[in-house]
Amino acid sequence: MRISALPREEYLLPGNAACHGCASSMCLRTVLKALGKNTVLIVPASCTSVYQGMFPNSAIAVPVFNTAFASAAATASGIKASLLQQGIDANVVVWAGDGGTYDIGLQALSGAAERNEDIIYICYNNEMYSNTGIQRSGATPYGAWTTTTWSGKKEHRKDVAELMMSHEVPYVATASAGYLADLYQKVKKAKKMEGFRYIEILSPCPPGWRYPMEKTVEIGKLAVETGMWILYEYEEGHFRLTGVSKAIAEGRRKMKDIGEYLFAQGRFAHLSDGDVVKIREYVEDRWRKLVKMESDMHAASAKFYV
Amino acid sequence: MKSNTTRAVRIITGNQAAALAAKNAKVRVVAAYPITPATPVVEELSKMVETGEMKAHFILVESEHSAMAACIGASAAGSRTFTATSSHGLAYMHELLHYATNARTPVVMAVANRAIGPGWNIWADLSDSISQRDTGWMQFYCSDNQEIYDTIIMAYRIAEHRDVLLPAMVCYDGFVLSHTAMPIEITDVNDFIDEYHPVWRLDFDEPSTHGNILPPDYFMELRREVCEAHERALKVMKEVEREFYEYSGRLTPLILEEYRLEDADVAMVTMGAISSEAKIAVDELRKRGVKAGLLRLKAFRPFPKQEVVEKLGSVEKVYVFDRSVSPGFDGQLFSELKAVLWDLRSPPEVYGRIVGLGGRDVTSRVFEKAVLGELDKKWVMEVIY
Amino acid sequence: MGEKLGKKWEIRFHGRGGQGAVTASKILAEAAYLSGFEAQSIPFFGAERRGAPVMAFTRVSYEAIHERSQVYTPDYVIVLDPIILDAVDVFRGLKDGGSIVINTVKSPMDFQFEQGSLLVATVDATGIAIKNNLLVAGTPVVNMPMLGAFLKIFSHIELETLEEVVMKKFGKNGKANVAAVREAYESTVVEKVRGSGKPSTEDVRRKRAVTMPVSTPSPGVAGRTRFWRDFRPEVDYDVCSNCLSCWLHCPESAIQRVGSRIEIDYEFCKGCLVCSAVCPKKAIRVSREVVV
Repeated sequence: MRISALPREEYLLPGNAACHGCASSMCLRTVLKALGKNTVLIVPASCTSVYQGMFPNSAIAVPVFNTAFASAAATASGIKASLLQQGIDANVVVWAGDGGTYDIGLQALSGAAERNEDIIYICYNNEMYSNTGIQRSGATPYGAWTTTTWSGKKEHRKDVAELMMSHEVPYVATASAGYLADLYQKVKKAKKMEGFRYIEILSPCPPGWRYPMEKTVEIGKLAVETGMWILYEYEEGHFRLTGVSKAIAEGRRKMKDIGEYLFAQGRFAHLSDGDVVKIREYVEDRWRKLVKMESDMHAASAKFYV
Repeated sequence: MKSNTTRAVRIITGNQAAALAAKNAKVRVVAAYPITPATPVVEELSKMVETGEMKAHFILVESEHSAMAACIGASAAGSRTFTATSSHGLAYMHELLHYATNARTPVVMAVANRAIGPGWNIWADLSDSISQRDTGWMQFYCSDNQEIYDTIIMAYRIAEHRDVLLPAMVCYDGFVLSHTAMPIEITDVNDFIDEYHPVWRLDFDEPSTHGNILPPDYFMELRREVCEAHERALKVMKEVEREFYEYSGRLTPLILEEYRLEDADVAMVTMGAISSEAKIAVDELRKRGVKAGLLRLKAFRPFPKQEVVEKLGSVEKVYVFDRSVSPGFDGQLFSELKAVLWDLRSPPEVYGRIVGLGGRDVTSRVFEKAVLGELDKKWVMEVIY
Repeated sequence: MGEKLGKKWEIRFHGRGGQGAVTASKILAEAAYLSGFEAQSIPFFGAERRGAPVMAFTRVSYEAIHERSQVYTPDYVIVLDPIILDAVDVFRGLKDGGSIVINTVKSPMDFQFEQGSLLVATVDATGIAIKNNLLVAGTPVVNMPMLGAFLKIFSHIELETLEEVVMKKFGKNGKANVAAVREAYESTVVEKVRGSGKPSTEDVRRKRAVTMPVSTPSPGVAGRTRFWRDFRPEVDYDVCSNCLSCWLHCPESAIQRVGSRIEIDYEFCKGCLVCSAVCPKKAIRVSREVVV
């Protein structure tokens, strides 16, 4: 799509309190352009609680309801129920970090997904608790330095987008701050659908990942180009890779070496060769799994038509 | 009294009374999670919503934490909301109880009072809601099923009043009231309570942000406002109590109830279902020549300081009975009552007794014996009948 | 010891998030303690992120320090960042006759204030940091040279004591930091400067009742974020193809589409340089922000 097609309206106002080169604010700006004015944002404790600014002012120009850390999906369920009762048609959208999604908020998220609440849940995943100053989360990848994993995290991350697919909600998509037009289109698509929709954005963080502030978009692209982050959509039971991930799977693009991504960031600077091998194997396994998921999908539908 | 008030007496449990009150109070969003002994409220409501008898949206959440979060969200979006819980469920909500207060969302909740484990105990004990004392919720303690029905309906009028804007919990002893059936009048309250008109709600044309950072420059202003709202609530409670009496013909106290206190030398002070047993004790004691009276506190928050001082100003002795305890100190009502009576020039002697924890039965004999000086220990361990 | 009883100095640091004001406050407290004083270092945490104005406080005393509150009427002020002078009133509450150390290329006489007179010390700490390669992610870290400059006007701590603490704190970067401390100490210019002597009494903060915790959308919730900018992006319109990539990616909504071209809103641009990095035509030039 052409960038000029994006609305000029700004719902994230300038002069907010986000760090230099913040991917979360960058993505929120795009997301709000896609959602438009008839949107209420539910924000649990996260960087967004801070960069929206302090009372009596706010940097966000749609209704925002800030809620307790573990409660985003439940609060959104309540707001949606109320709007339905009042006959008000609006996008009820959770905007949460990976802390509020992967860890403390997972129970409420799973509950809302299972109930197929008519809300959009967007997780901006910066792979750690950035707001409290860079601690590990369930989304932190193996090997990454945080202030609670000084020698590097010893476990691989979990994957909530896949968990949402297993909840069989109407729509699941992954996106990256490296591809904002793709993000815009996925949010647009989600907006037109009904039921529970989950979008997870890889949201690089310059101070937490330790790379120069201007490289946010580049890091967001590298994650996808090296297979560390995979772009896909799961729509009414159908799974498909999208964008650069699709091009790599179809052999139209060569996957870049994982080292290009890892060593562009200070949080991985200490990795041993063995660590890199371990991460590479993890990435390859996930690739195989998701590519197989896509081909099984095609095989199944082919069989159906025979 | 309104002539169109239709009266229908039904023999129902406290839980059923709570559910019917929520329905008749025009609750439009319910979010709840079952827990003994409040579960029947949840079941009753879900049935009424499913059959269309109640025009509301029921969110069958996965936890009490989410139940309260959903109620707060729905309230902020402009709906009248209700939930019911007990014990561990209430404890699990704790964070969001604070949230509802500062968010100024007038959620109303039924609490079937129950002990908190371990060991697992599903029986009556006020410790669950008394431990939520400082969350900023208004708290009402009922002593019969009619009161549960009436109080829930009146609670919305108080909570949503623009001078108040505070959440409220209506508490009643688990099993003792929640599962005990008594005849109650299911008054049609259509003309007593209107649809919810929020003072503030999410608005798409004039967007605003609710609950962002409130720095040290402003936080105290909000907290003071919450405390002043509690003070104003006492006034509103008196108005609503009177209005409900005029509407229904029932004087259901919201602040306190007194029984034969005018000329009493000895006053008993209680909350909840045990207050009813205490009334029997008053009569017995009077027969024996002891000028006893009862002060039942209905509202624990806001605490009716002035009213309590007025009622107890001329008695010689006060016995406070707590169906809850603060380990490391005393029964909470006992401590608070002493604090209030300190304002008197010559305060009465005040004694505290811990009774009925975890469902240990409390009969009128306990009160009698305590007043007669036959129970001189703080802890009343025996069931006396 | 008699004349020392009750003697206490309060020092306030002004910097921006990430510049090390808090670290400087702690290192100064450590050096003071090693010099035989009671000492205390207090960070002040606002809600802003990296780049936003921050404060830190150090107390140095002959006696036990019982204060736990912030410093409102400092004896000394240390300004780590030249840009911040426009954003924050760094002179606020500074005692008449007190001292201020400023990281600037200007001279002491260039500063105006409401106190009767102050000892003003100036030092080009940014230049010294660059010269000694004290850079993190390309940004000069000036906190240690600023402590060197401070000792020029604060004689109760020996330069060697400070250097010892700095060596210990910075490990392999210790030498560069110590060199910067010393260079700053030596190049600091100190002058007694007269001010207007007319303190304003106006209360800057208007309070309001808070019934609901509800806020209204407005630009600049974090103030004029141009003060966070170390680097300035500038569009070369001869090269710009108006592809809008910079507009799409600006995390700050500080690039606007005006008619048929884009314009940078320099009031709010924080200088993150994402726009320059994503420009396919290399049409956005970058230069160091100059303080006028």
